[in-house]
Amino acid sequence: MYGFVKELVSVARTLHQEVRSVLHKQLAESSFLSVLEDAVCKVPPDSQIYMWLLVVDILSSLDPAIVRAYFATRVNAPDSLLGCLLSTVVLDSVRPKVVCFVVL
Amino acid sequence: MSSCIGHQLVELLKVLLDPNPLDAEKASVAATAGLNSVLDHLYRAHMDKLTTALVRPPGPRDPLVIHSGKYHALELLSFFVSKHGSRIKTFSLKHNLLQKVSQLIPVSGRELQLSAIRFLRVCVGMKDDQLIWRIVSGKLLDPVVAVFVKNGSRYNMVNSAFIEMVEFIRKENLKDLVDYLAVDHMTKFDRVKYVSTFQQLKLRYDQNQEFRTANGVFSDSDRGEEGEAQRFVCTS
Repeated sequence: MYGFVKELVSVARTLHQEVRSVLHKQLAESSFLSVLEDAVCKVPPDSQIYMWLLVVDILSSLDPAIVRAYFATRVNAPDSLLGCLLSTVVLDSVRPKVVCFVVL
Repeated sequence: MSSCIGHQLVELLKVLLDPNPLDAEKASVAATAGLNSVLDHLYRAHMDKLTTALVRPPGPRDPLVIHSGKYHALELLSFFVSKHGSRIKTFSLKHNLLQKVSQLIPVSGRELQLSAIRFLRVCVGMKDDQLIWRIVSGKLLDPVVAVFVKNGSRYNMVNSAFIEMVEFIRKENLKDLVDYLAVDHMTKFDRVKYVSTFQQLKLRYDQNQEFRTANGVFSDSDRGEEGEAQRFVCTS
């Protein structure tokens, strides 16, 4: 699902500004950002790195004003999207484990 | 967490928390008001996450773990200093943010040292009296000078970042910082001959002293404790 949405907002980048704004507004009005919020607040990046990458891509593609407006509606929420993003950004990184097979 | 996500998140948060985006002329009044409430919420509820990350003790040595959390926190804080004006200034003075960053320098790796120097450079670049006085009174550039001296004449990013900061201080004639560097550290800079920055800093210090003598103006450091007390009253 996230992959589909990511493709959708990527394609939307090529649309005319007005059409793109309408699409972003429609997405925001259909509680789309709260779905992303649920996804990132409930799943740590270690376990679902691909989903996190998609969510970050989607948020980067959206109009920043729409995401800011959503942040403003969630200032009193205990698990807000902004809080989850900030909690994640200060986590230390883990290098992916590389397994080498030696063929004798 | 993968480090690629960390970098992307930092860039995303910079875009979302920038009060003066490039498309500012398109931003409506309502959107600006919304951003103000978001920034209020950020400073009230979430900034402690960044400061806690800075003072977090390093975990056990694990070759698979990259300690990038502090680096990302510093990158964001540097951005906030350059963009959030009085909000971040009040926050950093109240939470001793500059001291925390300065204390990171001696115990960190090269990347984190560089990021901490960049943070202090952004603070100096704001040319704010209170931030500068906090740097001078806490001698917060001492660890940076120590890293510069330890680095020797090797040409690298730490070396360039420090020389650029001193050059800025000299050009802008930030008098408290000029005095601090000249009085406390000039002997350490005497050996540095490959740039003229430090000789010119000494010259600037001498010019400032001559000006003060000629006009009967004394710096707070000349006044001693009385001057510091006066400054404290002004800043508190």
